Amino acid sequence: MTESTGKVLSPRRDGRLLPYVAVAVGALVVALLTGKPALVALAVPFLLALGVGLARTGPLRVSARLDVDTTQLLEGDRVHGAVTLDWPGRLDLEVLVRTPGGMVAVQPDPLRWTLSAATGPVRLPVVLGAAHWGRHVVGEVWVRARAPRGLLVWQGRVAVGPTLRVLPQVERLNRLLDPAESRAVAGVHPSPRIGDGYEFAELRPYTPGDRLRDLNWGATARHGRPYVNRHHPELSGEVVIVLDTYTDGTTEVLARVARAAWAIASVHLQAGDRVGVIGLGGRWRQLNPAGGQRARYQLLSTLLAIGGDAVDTTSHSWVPHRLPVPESALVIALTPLYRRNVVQVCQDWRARGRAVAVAVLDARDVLPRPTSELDVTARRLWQLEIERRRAALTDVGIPVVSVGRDGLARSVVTGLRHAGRAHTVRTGR
Amino acid sequence: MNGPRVALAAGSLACVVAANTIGVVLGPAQPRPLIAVCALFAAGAALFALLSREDRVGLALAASLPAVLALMAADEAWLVGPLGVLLLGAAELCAWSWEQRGAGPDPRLPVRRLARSAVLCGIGLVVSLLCYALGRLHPWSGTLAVFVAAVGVAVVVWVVTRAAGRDRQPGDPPGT
Repeated sequence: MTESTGKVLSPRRDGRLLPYVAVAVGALVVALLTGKPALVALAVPFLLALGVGLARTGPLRVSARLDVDTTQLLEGDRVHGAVTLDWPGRLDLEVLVRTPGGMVAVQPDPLRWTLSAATGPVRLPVVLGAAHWGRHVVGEVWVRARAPRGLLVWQGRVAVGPTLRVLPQVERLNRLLDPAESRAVAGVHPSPRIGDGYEFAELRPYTPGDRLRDLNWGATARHGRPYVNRHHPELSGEVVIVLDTYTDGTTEVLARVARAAWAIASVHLQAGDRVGVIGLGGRWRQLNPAGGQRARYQLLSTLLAIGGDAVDTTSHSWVPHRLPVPESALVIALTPLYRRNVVQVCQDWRARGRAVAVAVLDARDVLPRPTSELDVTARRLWQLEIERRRAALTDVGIPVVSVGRDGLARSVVTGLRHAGRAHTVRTGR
Repeated sequence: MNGPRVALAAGSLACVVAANTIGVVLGPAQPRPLIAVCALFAAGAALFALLSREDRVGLALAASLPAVLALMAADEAWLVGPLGVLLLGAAELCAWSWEQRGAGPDPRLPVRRLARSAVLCGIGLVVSLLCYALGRLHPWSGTLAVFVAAVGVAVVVWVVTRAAGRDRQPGDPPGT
């Protein structure tokens, strides 16, 4: 799945080259100046080593490619592939497949090989595991070569693998968060407005024009005059999922964010809602709410891009300006609350009348055990800071739930339903 | 550090220590304290090269030279060549011990590298003793002779191995 690339590597001197030259030349010069032939005997072994070690000089052309059997997989899946290398001559070769943050080696399959006095071409099998969702380069092939007994080293990156799309694992949801306001298209959320639908809204006396099938016979019999049922129309809504992927490098937190986001988004899309996403933490990315199959793919692509940004810690930046969110959208923020700015952004949305819900991802279980009293105290202090940020959110009426490692997406939905209860999560008109 | 790396590093250190000890013991008595200090420095530099910076092996070689050159003044000049080979072996073992880092569990690799270095050191020992013997015939002419011989040996080896190393290009069928 990659083109074979021929890379020309320039030689670099080994750590022994300069000392050998210094000893050999120095001994010869001193021997000549002092007229003591025994000193030449000191230089001879080093001269021999130099002669043999510099037999092969000049650049080295290495052809390499990294093939894998698939470019799309789920988090936790394995990808099988092979590194194919070719080079001229007989060389001692070290080959390393360097993986980015999202891909890991699968034991006992190696990602590093040492070939002694080998000739090309060679084919080395590779097995990698997808540890983290996102769009990742499968790996880079690095080579370090030296001639047998050589004093020069050729080293460099000779191939880059294809880009993989690692999808987050889907958690099943059986309940949905109600969006802030239903839109005027058919969906499964009961609208606060009255209209055609299945969910009962109210009773009222019959007026000419009402359908006979809406007559409530029980109420009609009790009151002695005809009453009809009124219903909420089932309409769709807008949901904006905010992913705060700023973490301390713990990919497990990112994985949880991804799983929850994808699960919530999938179910809302299936229900006919319009779903958008905002990525914070890496580069700022935004996908406006949209529905349908195309939106599903766009959402997935944006999620993968956010995942790739999150792994690339060099790209982390914060967007200071206000983030635009549709007026009628329900905002679900998935965040570990590691940055204070997330609290400010959520408070700002709330102040502008948006319905906001926050799910705080608790990653304490993935941290290593504290090894000292200082660790314990530091974690307590950090936990207090997180609690303070949670309190800052709940003070302005934002429902907050904690999410652990199990049943993540479902606990988000259940918790926010319970915490928000129609006043904060759902602000129907 | 894995087992082979420790063994190679220990061998390298042993070579440096042996070369310096011989130089101190068999060298002249008067400058012995100074030579001993240099020898200690050489051992420390070798240890540093083995543990931290492989490119510092040159420091160990340079610090070992006083002990080796001291033999010239003690009528043990014939040992200069063998001690040079010992120092060459130390540098080679140091390099292989670093190469062994992360090289995997294959035990054939260090053995092959050791065998190559042993062959190189063996040839170096024989040639250096021959050079010494040739030089003993006459001091000055001997020096010139062995200088030319040494350069000649190096050039011949270089030319021969370059010719052998002119190999096929990538894309050619294997075995050609």
